[in-house]
Amino acid sequence: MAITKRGALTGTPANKNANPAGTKTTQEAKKPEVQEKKGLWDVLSRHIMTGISNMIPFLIMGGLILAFSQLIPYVILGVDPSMGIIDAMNSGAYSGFSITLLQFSQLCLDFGGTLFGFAIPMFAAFMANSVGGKLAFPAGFIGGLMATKPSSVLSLADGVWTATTPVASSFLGAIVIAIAAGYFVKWLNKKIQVSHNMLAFKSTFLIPMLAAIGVMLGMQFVVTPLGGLLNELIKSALEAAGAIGSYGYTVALAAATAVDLGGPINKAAGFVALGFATDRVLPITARVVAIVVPSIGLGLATILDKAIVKRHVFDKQFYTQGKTAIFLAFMGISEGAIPFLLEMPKVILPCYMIGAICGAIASTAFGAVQWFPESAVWAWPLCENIPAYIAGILIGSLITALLVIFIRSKMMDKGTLTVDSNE
Amino acid sequence: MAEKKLVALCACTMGLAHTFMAAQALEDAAKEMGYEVKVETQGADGIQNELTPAEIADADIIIHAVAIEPQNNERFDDYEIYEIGLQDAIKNAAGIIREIEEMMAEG
Repeated sequence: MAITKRGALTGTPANKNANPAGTKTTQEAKKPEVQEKKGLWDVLSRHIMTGISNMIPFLIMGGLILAFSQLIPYVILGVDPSMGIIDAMNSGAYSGFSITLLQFSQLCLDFGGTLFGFAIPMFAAFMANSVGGKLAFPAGFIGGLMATKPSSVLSLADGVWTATTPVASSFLGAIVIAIAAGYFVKWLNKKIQVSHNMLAFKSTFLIPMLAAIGVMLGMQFVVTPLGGLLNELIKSALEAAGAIGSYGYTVALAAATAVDLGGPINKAAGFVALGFATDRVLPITARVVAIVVPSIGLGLATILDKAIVKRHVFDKQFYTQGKTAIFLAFMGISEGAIPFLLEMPKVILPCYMIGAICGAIASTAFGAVQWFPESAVWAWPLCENIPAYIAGILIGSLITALLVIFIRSKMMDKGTLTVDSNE
Repeated sequence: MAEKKLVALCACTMGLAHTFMAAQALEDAAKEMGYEVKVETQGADGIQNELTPAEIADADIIIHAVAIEPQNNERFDDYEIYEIGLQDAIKNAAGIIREIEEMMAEG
């Protein structure tokens, strides 16, 4: 278990005073493992998570409004998918209330797009805020905005100066600039020590100016060129790899997501996938499917075992836990499957991973595309091709369920597993 | 001796489920172990059950079960806090509290 003790940041810890007399003071002989310093990854992941936490509402709002803009014309009114909304209005095929609906769709498209576009700036702002405090917030925000809409680059060609817009560094650039801006502001705050009456000068002029200039130059000359280049490379590599590449990504993402159910590998995979999905490079379908498959699969196993092998293959308490696991899975939580995993990790984990991978491949192959990074049931309608998505989840879950049932049943035959079913 | 006091703060990334599962687990475990307990949650619905400076100052154990940087974190600057993962809190809240008690006893 990872317990990190953080001492008081301002000298003597005050809460020790509240302890009854007789407790040893904290000043003497602290155990080194208690004082364990958190690793760089832990610290950064906390800041990244804070950014993501505040970005999610933008993705939800933007995603929902954008969903209206697609749903109304292309599903309800049956507009040809290759046609834009305004073209459809000009085509003469629609009139009266349909025109009003199309107008509303166009509004949703515009508004939702703007809202969605603020996800990355908000992410960067809150992440920088988490690192460097209040003054880092605007620096992170503008950095994030420049990561999505980079400032133009001037170049001299044939004696004429022209402005071109470089490739955006997007989510990747936003992470880098948020870290940079956050620590830069934190460092400035520490290094620039002024007397009390100069404090206003420092915090309303000096640090804002230095931070803004730092972000401007850093984005323009370091983050945007490098991040843009990297994004180009990833994109062209994926295009070169074609269908095989995207299936490879699907398999890898599903496996990494299922392998430790919310642990570090899962989280790392999540960052990568979220980056790709926010930039609309690769969908996050495999991950959101893989999150729910193990739990639903185990839940199904507790329901189906009687019908398939004519006996209970789990201890009694697992049957309620199985139903809880399914319920939690619909809320997008994979932890319901953990109790089953703890009982016999080496057997159950492969079942989880195989089910997750099969489910992810199936839903991708059937044509489900999910850009929205949430696996809970209320996010399902936001994906393209819901039947394919649900089919993928069902197939993956069934595979997990059957594997678990057969393996456990076999083990019971061999006598390596006994089950307390209390019948 | 007056009842021992435990306060905790829970905050996860999405603020939908883990926050509240961890809060429930910590609250139940702490009550079971004879603590007077209050748990603040910073979920998608904002800050609930907010801890006051007095409650924080009064507490024997302060636990942060967080995956993100909590809001108003400066309230805790003057105190020793124990940071744990939300998963650990959900899976084994009682074990965590016991381990913290041992860490405190060792001083």
